[in-house]
Amino acid sequence: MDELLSEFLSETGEGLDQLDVELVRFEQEPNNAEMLNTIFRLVRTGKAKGHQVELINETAVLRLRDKLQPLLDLAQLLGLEGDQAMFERLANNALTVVVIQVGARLFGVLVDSVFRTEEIVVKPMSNLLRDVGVFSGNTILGDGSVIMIVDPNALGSAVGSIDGQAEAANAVAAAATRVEEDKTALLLFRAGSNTMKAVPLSLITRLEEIEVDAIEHCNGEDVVQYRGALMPVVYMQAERKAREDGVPILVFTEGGRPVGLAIDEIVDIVEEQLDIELKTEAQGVIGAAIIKGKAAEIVDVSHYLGQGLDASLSSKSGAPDRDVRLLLVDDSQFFRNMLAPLLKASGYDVTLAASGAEVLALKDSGANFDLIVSDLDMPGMDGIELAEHIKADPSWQRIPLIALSSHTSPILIERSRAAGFVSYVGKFDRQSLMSTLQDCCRHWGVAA
Amino acid sequence: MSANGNDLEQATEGYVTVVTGGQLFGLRLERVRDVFVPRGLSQVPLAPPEVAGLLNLRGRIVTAIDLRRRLGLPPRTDGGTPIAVGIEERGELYGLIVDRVGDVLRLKPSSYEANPVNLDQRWMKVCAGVHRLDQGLLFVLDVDKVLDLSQSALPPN
Repeated sequence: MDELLSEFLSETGEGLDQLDVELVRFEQEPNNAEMLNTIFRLVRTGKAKGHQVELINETAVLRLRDKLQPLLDLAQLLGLEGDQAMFERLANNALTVVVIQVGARLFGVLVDSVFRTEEIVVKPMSNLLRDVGVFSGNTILGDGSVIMIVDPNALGSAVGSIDGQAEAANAVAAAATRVEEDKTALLLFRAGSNTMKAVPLSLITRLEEIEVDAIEHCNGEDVVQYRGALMPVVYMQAERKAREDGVPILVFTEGGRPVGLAIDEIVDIVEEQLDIELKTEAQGVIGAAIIKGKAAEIVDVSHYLGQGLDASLSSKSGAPDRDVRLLLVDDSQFFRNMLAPLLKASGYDVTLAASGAEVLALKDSGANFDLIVSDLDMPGMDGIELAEHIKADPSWQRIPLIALSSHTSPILIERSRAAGFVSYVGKFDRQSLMSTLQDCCRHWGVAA
Repeated sequence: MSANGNDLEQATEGYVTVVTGGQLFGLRLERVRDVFVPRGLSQVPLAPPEVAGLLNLRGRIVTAIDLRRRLGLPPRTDGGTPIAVGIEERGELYGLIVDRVGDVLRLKPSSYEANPVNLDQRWMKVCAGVHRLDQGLLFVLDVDKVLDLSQSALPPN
């Protein structure tokens, strides 16, 4: 019955496939008559608080940071009110904008209020209602009511009809994104200070908002009941802001266990080329980068997750028995900085190399390793060529090689296998990397 | 169904009778799954006007169709509790909302006639024929046609 769901995830879920269906339920009252329930599916959202809505030639746009995003009125789109009613409602009420990303485009959808997120199984729409088009399915909620699930793609095409020019611009931007492979989707947020903070979106499992009351103090740490288990909640800042509304939580999954990072506000989701401009010695920060023209701290998630995980019992179960000597080869400082603390935290003895030449120098100096994890795409000597060098050396040829790449083309996977890599892991897929490393330790007897 | 009215020996046909807008209708017994009170109806924006909404019937989603709107009748004004006849069609559940559900009648083919030629076009499309009964006429609803909203001649409301 959940075929629509998986279909949806495959369409819009690049890099987000761990993000379970996030639903925001909102209600609208057409003519104060019966309540209409409609569920909204959020892929990437930031709640816009106090963002300004502006009118350009009768078309509403949302000021989202430094960019204007098209704004759709859901009530109008669903035929619940006329095209002028939005402006009246905007003038009289504080409304909520659900920011949605479909493909490369971002747009806002105006709703009356947002209720909560809920996980559901999507059931297909009845044959009689297939033509409606706006809905991708329906479901029964816990309270027994039936609600429709709005199809973000349908909304996306509705946006297309109001911003043809922007579409053309987006198409160009999308093409540029394809050429510019190094772009990383980043979640921008604030926590503690006013400084913008960023974390790669792909590291985040889910975005949640949790009521303050739901956070309990237990065994010296803050926890919330989350999906039938206790999830530790860690804070980015020492002092916690007293707040009455919900706390936005970034949920990370570490060793199969969720850890929540409480923040103040989700600001935006952007795709940017990530160049760390300034390194820092500060704990919990990898460095600073320019994102959307402004300086932002790139947060070292593993620093905070460590806090939550030290207390959780099973986190170390997958760690190797003794320190496995692991060589991590990646030309990107960002990834070295991102992965090294994680690997160290998991019990590996990590050596870093920034290029194939550095690796060969290590090899010639007589160093030895139990495992090598190498990026495939590197300037100069790429991962394939490096593997050929390694396999040609009798002293190193038995070391298992794991390929890291941000591309997942079958040809590249085939080439990496032919060159001697035993496994191929997506660059952002931390969990796969960890489990692959553990498998390698077992299978290749590395730790024995 | 044959309109061979002279053969009195022919087997009787079971109908679930319903009343909508003062008119008696019959649905063939084997097409009716159950009868229930439609509760917790969720409206579907942009849906065809005949679709009253969706509801949860013991964990399954039912598409409710308003027979009054399907037949082009005015909305009900007597304030009575609506009741729905459950129909299963190609794995989906439908509920036909009517004013009242009556008895199950076993009718002989001898009382059956084709639709009167001057019947309203909308009724013509969903009625298979008519039984002459002592208490009046019973229109036989063709369930497949009732559920086929592409046959609708209703203007959107």
